[in-house]
Amino acid sequence: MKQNGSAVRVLMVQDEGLGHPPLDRILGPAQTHLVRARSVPEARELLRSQSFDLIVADDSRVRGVLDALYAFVGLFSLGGMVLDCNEAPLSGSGLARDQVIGHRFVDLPWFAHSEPEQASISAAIGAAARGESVRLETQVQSTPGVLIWVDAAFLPLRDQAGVVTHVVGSGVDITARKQAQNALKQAVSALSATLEATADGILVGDRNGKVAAVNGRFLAMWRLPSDVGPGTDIRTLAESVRGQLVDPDAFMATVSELYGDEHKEGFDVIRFKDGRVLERYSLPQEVGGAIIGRVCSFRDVTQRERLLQQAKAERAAAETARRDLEAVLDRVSDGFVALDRSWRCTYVNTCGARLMGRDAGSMVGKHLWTEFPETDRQKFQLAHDEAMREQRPIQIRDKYPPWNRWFESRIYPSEDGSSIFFRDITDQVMMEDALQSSNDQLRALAARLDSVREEERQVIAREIHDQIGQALTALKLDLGWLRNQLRGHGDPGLVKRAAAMDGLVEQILETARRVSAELRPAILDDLGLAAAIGWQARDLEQRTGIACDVHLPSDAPPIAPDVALALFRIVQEALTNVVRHAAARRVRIDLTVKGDTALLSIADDGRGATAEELQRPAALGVLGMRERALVVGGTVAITGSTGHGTTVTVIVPLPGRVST
Amino acid sequence: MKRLLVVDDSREVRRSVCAVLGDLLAGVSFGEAATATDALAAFGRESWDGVLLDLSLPDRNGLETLREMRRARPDVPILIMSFHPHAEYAAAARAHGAAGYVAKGSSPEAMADAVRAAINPAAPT
Repeated sequence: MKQNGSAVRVLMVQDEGLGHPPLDRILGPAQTHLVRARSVPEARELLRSQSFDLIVADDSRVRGVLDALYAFVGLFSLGGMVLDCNEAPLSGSGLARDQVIGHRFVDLPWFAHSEPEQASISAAIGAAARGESVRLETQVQSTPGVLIWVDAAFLPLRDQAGVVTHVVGSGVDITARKQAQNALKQAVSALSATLEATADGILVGDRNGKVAAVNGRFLAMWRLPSDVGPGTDIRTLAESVRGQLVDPDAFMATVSELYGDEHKEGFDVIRFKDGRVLERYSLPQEVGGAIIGRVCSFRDVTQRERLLQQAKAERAAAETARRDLEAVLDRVSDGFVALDRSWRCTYVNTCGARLMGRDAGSMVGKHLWTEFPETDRQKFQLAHDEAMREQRPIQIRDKYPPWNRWFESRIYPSEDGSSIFFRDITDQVMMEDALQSSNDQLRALAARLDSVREEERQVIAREIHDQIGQALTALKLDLGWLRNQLRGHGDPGLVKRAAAMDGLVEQILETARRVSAELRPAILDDLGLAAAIGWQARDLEQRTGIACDVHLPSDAPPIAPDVALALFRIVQEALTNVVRHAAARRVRIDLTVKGDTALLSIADDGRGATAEELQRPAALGVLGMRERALVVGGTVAITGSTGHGTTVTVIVPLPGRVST
Repeated sequence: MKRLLVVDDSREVRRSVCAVLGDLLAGVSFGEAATATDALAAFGRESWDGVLLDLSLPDRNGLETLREMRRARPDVPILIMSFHPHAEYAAAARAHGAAGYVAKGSSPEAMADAVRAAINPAAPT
């Protein structure tokens, strides 16, 4: 069909300087584009590279040119019959001349594949016969089964009177061009699809500052109507959107800069009043080394900006929190150090740095063991490992020999390391040592006083026995003898008087025994601990009525005198407490010797001493028992259960065997 | 004549015991020792029919002295004498082989009965 607005391309083959026949008489009022060739070879070359609608040549050249053409050139009757045609297309299709000449053009094998094609060609020939120049693209079967695209033209041929007498037809194989066009179309389609599929807004401008292409995303980003597209002036477009922007002047300046310098590459951030943020990348578009325009891509980074701002705010908040925490840590009176899992300091407070004798800043990143190699690494590391493993705080105290100072550390584990509070407790340790020393001295003094007292008691008891007891014994015997003598002499008054004297001596003797026993029971020294405990229990029963169950070793091994005395006094004190406080009905005493340890227990069934009662400062009896055991290297444990009695348990070592 | 060794560190006690027992026990003569050492020497040197041994001697425990005497002359009865009239003493004395136990301060008759039972002297006339 007629192609609107296209000029007729004419190849004029003639010597230079010669005029050409009036083309308007041939072609009518159609516009023409004239190309000259001075020879047939030149014409042949032109025909190879270009397509022409009409070839004009003198008689001597026409045939040669025509036959050399790969394109089809034919002369038709007004009814569409082929009157003549060039040779090349016939040989290319395998047709003989007599198969073509004299036949209707549309009936030739070239159009046998498609009736619509036949109709289209027939209509074009008809139009040309009526004086129209028709150009169309059609598919021709060059050989059976092979279709090619042909750029066909049908032009009226007029006589001198301007009457159309014949139709000139031409056809050029444009299959390659068609394929290229299809490929280009597909590429353009793919590009368009890509442009539409991308999340970025794309604006392609030509060298004249006009829009060459945009994608839908660009229009959406800039709130532009869908009719904005190829041909729109970019600067005008920019002016229409500047009102959306926070800094429209800067935006317009950048637009001017980019489109004022075709080589310029640009990146900027565009902020909208409604909070959106776009990044613009702008590059010149090159084809074959020549800049043909500019491509701008716009990326919506609003979400990213929002997240960045949020992260920035969170970082700022974290930094503020960190500074606040550091300020708090710096005000605490203890040293503080934070370690990562590799034992490197991540933070040290002012007090901690002062205690360490270091600058706080210089400690960060330093390895703890490198800085303090003399630390008892094993002890601290064991404690640290335990804290990390069990995720619980651990407290230790240890001495740092290079400084001769004691430190107490509290290790708090966390997932990424540990926090350690520490303080110098040297003064405290010294006071503790002094207190311990003082306590030891007091204990030693008390033990010494007690020992002296025991010695004194023993001496006094001995004196009572040796002086008073013996004398009374002799006196009693003498009185007995005297009574016997007086009986024999029959004076009842004297006998009676002697009997009274005997009774008085007996009282004094009994008093002496009692005082002596209270001061130092000779049974302990004479018969040993087991016998002494048995005697004490029996005495308790007789005095108070409290039943005593005594379980003593049948063959008690020798016990050192000081240990035996300590255990006996503890029994006495425990039984005194039972009488005074327990309101008990029964007491059980057990003495067991196993190897080098003696185990003594005194258990009553009374009201049960409470922990508070046992810990009262006035509970001197309890204190006395503990101290007596301590002097001989033993321990005393006192347990009470309300309503279920109290038990005193004594464990002492037996360093040697002493015969009793 | 029976011979009784009286061992006590008090001279007065020894005198009183010997006087009282001499009055109540016929046919008994007495020897004296003030220490365990002297007592063991006399016991080993001479022949005795009985010993009255104080438990509290200045140089040695009375029970040890008792054991040693028993080892030397198990046929000689030994009575333990003590200032403390505790049953534990009597039990301990018997456990160590004593023939009896006499508390100091007992009546002369009780002491004499105990000695008599141990050495079986002739009854006083």
